[in-house]
Amino acid sequence: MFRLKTEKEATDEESMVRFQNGDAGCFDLILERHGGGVLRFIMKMIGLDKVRSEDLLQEVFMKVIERRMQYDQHQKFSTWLYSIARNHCIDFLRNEEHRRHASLDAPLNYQENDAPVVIDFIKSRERDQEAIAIDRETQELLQEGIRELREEYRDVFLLREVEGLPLEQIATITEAPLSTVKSRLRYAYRDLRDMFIKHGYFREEQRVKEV
Amino acid sequence: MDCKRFEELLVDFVEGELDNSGIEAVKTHLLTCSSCSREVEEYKEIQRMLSEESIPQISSEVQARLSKAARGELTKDTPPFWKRWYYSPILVPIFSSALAFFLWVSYGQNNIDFLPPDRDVYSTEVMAKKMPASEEPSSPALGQSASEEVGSHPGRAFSKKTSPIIPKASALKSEAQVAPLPAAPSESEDLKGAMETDKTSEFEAQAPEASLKSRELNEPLRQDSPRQEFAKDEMLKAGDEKEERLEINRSDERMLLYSDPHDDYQSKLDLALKQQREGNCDASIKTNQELLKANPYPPQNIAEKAYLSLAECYEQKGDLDLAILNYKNVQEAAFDQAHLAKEKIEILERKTGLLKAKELEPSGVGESQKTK
Repeated sequence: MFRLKTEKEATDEESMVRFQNGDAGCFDLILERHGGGVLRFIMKMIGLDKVRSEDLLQEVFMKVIERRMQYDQHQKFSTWLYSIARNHCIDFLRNEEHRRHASLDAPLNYQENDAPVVIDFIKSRERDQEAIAIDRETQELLQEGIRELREEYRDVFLLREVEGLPLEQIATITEAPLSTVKSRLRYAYRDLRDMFIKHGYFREEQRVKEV
Repeated sequence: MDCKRFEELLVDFVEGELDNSGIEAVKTHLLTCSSCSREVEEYKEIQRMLSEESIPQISSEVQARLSKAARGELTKDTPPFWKRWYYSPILVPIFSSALAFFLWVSYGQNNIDFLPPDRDVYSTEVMAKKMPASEEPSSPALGQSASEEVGSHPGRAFSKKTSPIIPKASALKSEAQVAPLPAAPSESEDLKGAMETDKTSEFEAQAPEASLKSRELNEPLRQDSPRQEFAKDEMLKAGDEKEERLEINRSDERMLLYSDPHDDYQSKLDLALKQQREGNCDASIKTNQELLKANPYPPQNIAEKAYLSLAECYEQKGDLDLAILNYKNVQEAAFDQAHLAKEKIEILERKTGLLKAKELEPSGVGESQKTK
């Protein structure tokens, strides 16, 4: 029978429409559902710590509040949300880059401070019994690899492999054709694999490709 | 399939976006190509590593700040009260006309003045029922004071003059009928009263049981119990006030009744009767004739009174033939007065017979004398 959905049962799109109509509770629900994911995306995209990423997250959700009337309910909400988040991150990175260029004299402490220091990775690989420690190291290496990815590969890779969005949605978010998205994803994987090989995590072999 | 083609399909294969034939082709290639199969393994290994990613928790401060911001933003663009949906240009006219219709249905129809289908609405019985209990003629004091008032009234004096043999009971009866009827103008009231008393006096002989009944009806009016005595005193004290109030009520009711076309006939009849009373028979005849020629034809009760008045005027004038004619009209118009009219006609015919005889007699005498 007909029954009004409760706030918790409502889809993201329905919640957003309710929020447009003045239901602030639905905004809390959206924040609860997507806040963590967006925060993770920002952290990996920008490569900042949680506290600084939260500032960006706050700015992203402020944009969601301000632009709520621009949201079209026929559009997937996650697409709209991640578009805002991605664009905000790219803007931030551009500004950062601009600032870095403006102060070329200043030492690039950013990577030195935040990047995980890979200490003798091959050595550590030899200690197989310390699997947990290795796992942590690989994780750190992976994060490093992601940070090193090119910007246009990084967002596609993160949206697909971390946030789990479908490729079509990613194409919409990045405003690129689906084939481009696929090739960017492939390049992202190739770069990561190369990095792992470089660090001795994957075996370096003579890869004979059939032509 | 070669390795280059596999490179193109790698993402689709790992992401599960290949169709069955594509999957089969890739699998056969992977069985033969170790480097490509290792690539797939590494791809999956990276995916596994990423799957261990945990979702970070947003700090409650940020959450609270955003929640507050959302609420603040929502209240900011709440439309002012005159722009809310219930003031929409569609709903406002709908609701206001619905309200107007409802008010009209509940109250408006009470003020519509329509002609009652039955003239009896204005009959004394119905009017008496409509009167508030306080002004009911059952109060002896009121009845008495009313009869006193009647005695001093010129209209009533006329009725007494024209029929001095009316017993008091019948006078009271007419009063009892008239007193609770403040609706008609007092003058026409009195004239009606006069007509009724006239009728009753003439009916007295014909219908003694009716007068008896009227006497019985009025018997309790005369018996003043101590309480009624007290009430009477009270009434006398507040007499003037009461009369004033009665007068106001009457004038109010009169205002209402004047809107009825029935009243035009009544006023004309009143005029005719007044003229008759003053002895101006010609004028009275004229007025009555006008009344009877009126279009639409006056109601039955008015017409019969007009005929009666005409007949009486002609009788007074000595035009007995016309008087007889009009009495015949009365006979036709009013069944209840048929008997009276018949009697009158007989008397008048006898009179005319006598007159004719008288007229004949002197001539006859003269002739006889001449012959003598």
